[in-house]
Amino acid sequence: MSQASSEITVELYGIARQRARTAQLQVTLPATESLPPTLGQLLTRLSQLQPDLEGECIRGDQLGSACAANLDGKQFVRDPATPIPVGVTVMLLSADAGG
Amino acid sequence: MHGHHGCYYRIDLSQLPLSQSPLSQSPLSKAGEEFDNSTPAPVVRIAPSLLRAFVGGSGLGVRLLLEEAIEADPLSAEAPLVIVFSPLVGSPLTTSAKFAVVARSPLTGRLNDSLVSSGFALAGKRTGADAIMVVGRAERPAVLLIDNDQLQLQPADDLWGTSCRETESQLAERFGADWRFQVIGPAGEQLVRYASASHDGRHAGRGGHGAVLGAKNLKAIGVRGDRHVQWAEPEALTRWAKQLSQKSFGPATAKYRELGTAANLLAFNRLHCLPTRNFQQGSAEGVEAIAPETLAVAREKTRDSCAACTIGCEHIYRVDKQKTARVEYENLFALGPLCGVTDSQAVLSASVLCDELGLDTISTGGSIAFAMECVERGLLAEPWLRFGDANALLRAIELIGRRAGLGRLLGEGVRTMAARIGGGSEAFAAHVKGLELPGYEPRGAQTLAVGMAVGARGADHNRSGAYEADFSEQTDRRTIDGNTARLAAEAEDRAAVMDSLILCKFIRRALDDFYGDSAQMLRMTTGWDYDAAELETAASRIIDAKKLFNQRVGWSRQEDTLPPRFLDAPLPDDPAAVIDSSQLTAAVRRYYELRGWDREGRLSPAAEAAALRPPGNAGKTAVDWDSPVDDC
Repeated sequence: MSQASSEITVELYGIARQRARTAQLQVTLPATESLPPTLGQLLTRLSQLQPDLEGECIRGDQLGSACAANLDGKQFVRDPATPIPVGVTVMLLSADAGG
Repeated sequence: MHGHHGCYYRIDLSQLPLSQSPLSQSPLSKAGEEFDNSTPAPVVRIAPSLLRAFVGGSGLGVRLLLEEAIEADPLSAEAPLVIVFSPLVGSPLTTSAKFAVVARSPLTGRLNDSLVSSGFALAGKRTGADAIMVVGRAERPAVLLIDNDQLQLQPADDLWGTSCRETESQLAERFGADWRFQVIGPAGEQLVRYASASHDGRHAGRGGHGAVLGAKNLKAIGVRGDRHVQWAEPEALTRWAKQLSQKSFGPATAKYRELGTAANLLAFNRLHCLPTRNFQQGSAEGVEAIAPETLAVAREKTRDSCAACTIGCEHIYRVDKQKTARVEYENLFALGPLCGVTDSQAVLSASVLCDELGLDTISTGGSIAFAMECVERGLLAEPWLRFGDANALLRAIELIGRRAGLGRLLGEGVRTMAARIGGGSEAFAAHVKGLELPGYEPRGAQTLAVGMAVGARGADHNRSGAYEADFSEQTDRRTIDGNTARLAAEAEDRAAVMDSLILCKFIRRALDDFYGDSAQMLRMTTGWDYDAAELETAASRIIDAKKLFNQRVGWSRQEDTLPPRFLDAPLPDDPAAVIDSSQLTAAVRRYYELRGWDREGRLSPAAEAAALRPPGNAGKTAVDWDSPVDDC
């Protein structure tokens, strides 16, 4: 049986964009309808695709302290166990909104 | 005493003789000259317990002003303005070269506490005072010189009308490198309600300190001195400062180093939090053209930092052969999408123009954008002033700075403009307490919306700090719920401490334990045994003092809200972003409860007394309220 997968659009802003040198990525992760990919899985895969994100923006399957993640421009999330529903875009941006 | 001098200078310009020597013939034209024909500065002692209770900066400034005639018209001679340093100024701690400028605002009629960085803080504290208060009015345009505790008021007619940059440059050339100056530009001279006071290109912005100084005929204040405070634990302080500096080079501040505050722009646009066309929308087409990612490629860029800062958040872009512009998020948004403009040359040129005239960019952009919408709706017969017209933007700024033509109205700020224009324009005049909103669409950042509604200064993101909760997993940024008031109050408390320490907010993520680390810094500088709990209490006390200030100058409960545009109406490009007015009202009431205020948001008599004269701390080192201090 072939494994289902989910393609996630990741938009990068701030330092994440500086490190990855791109504004957007498509990341494919294994998934089923009942078991969507998690934020932690996405971060782990991103780190593999863009090693320069590791350290500052991503630490293993977790966000770096200076980085924030947002789902579809709505909800900010941090817990690696957060499910990413099909079709949702993930934003990575600098955590510090001030200025 | 450590960290503090224990006094402030209270300078009455009306009593200070004007030196007969015009500035161009000043005996101080060379550095190191003796200070002839000077007057000793009137010294007012500050009790150690007051310094301990209000820390410094914004907190101390508000407390000192509560002893003054704050009910006076802000542009009258009686109106006081105080420049306040802090126990950290002059220390090796990164980002500590900051000072507060506190006065009653001619724009809002309420408290106005600004923070500014760099060398003026260091030189000012070396004059031998913890604060410099100015009252009265010079009989003609003048420069106030403060050399240690000696004063001289020099005529400055030849500088009246010159830009901030040119004024500071001329003064530096005439007096030498050991002087530092805070100056006003033509906007302050013309009493534009949101004129700023500028030092080294950094502005005491928002609320019109430039106009307060202009009304006193004060073109500039110059400071120099050699009176250093002692630190309580100098070796520990040096070690701690080194560690903090190391942290300041890390990921917590990378955004500021690499992109500056303008890094917000594209993310906010994506989140529909970028105020566009006078807050009619939360996103704009074409903003990529003014984003730092684009500017850095298209233009020559340099970086700089304030004195004593290891972060280096200043990103300075080439505008033309002669001019450069220091770019911040707030001036990009206010002079860009807020006015419908996304032409980078126009936005940067507008920014330079505001700097030279001495104008707060947020209120400038807000006032122009409001006028543009009035034109769009047929309420203002100025057909040249249209959203998206870069030339119109620049022309409007010139008119404001010179108080000419339409500039006479624009320079009053949106609240007064709406009152005069009428036609229902109050509904879309984007201000709180008369202070124009900063670059955060409130419907998309509702913790900040509450924070701005209740803030003493008005719509101010810096004194609130509540946007941090909105752009995190702590809350749903498009909802006011049972936690919103608490989050807003907690952010405001932290901001009050940072603004009194004083440390730049950009260092905050480098602190592991905000209150604990702040207390540690104060222990090492002052020797007083601060702990985290005491600083949390101090934060509440400072907020109470700000409320007491506003109560005395006429604040009413009805001011703690947002304009009708933002209430019960969705953001067109993010329909889920709606502020329910009943929820806002409930959150404001909850905020009052958390503050210990009554249902109308007023301090109790006991809280008023505590704000003025805090009780001693049982079990702590005894600090007698009225104990004498060492000579200043």
